[in-house]
Amino acid sequence: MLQNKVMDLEKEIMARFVGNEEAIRMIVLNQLHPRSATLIRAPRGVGKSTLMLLLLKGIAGDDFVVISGASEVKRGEVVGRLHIPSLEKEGVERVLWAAFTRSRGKGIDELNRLNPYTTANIHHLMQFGEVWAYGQQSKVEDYILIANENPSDATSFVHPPPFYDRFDICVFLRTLTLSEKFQLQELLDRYEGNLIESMPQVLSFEDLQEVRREVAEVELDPDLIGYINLLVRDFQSCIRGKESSEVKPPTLCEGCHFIRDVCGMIKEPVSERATVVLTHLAKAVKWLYGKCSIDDIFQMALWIFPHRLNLIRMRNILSDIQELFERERVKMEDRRLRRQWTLLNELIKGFNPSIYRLARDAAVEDVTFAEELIKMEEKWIGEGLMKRGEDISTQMGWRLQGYNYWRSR
Amino acid sequence: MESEKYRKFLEIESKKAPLEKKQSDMRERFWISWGESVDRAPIEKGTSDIIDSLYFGNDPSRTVVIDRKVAKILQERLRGLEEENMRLHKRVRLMRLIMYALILIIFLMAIAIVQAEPLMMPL
Repeated sequence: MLQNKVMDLEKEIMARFVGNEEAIRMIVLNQLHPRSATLIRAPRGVGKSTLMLLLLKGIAGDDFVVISGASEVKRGEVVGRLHIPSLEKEGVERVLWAAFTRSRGKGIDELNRLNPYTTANIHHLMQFGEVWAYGQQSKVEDYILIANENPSDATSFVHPPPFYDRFDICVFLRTLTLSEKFQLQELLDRYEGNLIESMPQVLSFEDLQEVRREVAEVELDPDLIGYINLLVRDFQSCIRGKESSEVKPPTLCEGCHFIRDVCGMIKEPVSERATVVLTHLAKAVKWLYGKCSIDDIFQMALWIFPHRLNLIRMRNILSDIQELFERERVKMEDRRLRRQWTLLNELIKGFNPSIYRLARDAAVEDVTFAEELIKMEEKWIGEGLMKRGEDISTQMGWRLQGYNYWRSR
Repeated sequence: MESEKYRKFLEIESKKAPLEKKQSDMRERFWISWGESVDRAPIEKGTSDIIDSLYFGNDPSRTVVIDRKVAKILQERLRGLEEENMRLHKRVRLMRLIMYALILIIFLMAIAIVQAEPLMMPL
């Protein structure tokens, strides 16, 4: 069974990599959807490269190529180079595509030390599944891409946030505890220091593609999809439109009705890719373990959000996000107690003044809910059930961009 | 255009934490109360007690605790009743004025009739 093979892969890696079990579990799960991209962040010497190589060997066998930001990487080594004899003899520009583009397993060591030109090529590969060189295009087939970096390292170039956004997850490795250090020494003795050479190929790439097909077909429950969308929306929404505002929180939040909300803590919100990745991972969990709960969603989101958002005060990104998740859980429970989704469900069926009054009460304390109510109000105003001025957006001075006012009727 | 999955999400959540509607004595109006959550401890039981005791005359528990949301419902209801009260009060005042005016007219007419009567008597 394919599930057993994936479990075996996890076991083989854990047998060679001490500690960080949750990170390993997440990395394995993240491989179960097409063109997966994983980023490992850790201080130096913790095992970023080892973990990357263990996974590449476990899935791609010997069909993997690792490029390193620490060495001088040229475009020809990442994308392709011109075949000089063809040009000289026939006058034809033939491109020899680099092994990195053709291999199923792709590794990038010290990602944050790559030069911007190489980064731009890899960014294009991840975005469009193709590479370009000398005016010629080459499609890149399904792959696994694993990169690592030490965020504390001094780098020459700062990569743009959209590049990091292309990485599905970002796991953080920690240093080993006292007892774990003993375990590592025993491991090194057992494998005579060759942890990576000893790693077998547990899963063929064809097996992985079959797994990816099966995972894609998994159906998630509507309430789980709802919670995924809700979690991401709560980390995006801003009644003052921070996405397009030149002024960012906390300055933007001065005098805002929702200043104490989660939105007030987030300077740059997460992208829509967070929803896509969270959905992929939820499907993978359901495929592998038989079910996926709301707790699993929160647990996985911890590895999906850190490289996608900027907080107004950052001390330790993981504990800061964890804290916001705790507030988010309380908010979700509060919504249930207030029957907010029930009110919305009733209002979708038709306008009702009594239910609308209750929904308004809830909306003044919940941006995400307010957005949905405002959209409905626009419809009701259009239908003549309400007058402009009676709606919450006018009374509270909230104006949502993009889907109201202009030619709405 | 609403997504089908979005509607399903709302329906599922509605079933987990329903609203209860009861028809009121007045036409086309109904009372809304919080139904029992199916997958949570019924922590708002006390609040439904107070709603039921006020609106439906049920006996409340020995101790009644109300949360902010129920307080808001009651506030809203009180505001509605006060508005209704003011409207009726205005109408009563108007009616009273009309009544005084009518009494005055009748009185004046009666005086006029009494004064006119001797002239109309045959000699």
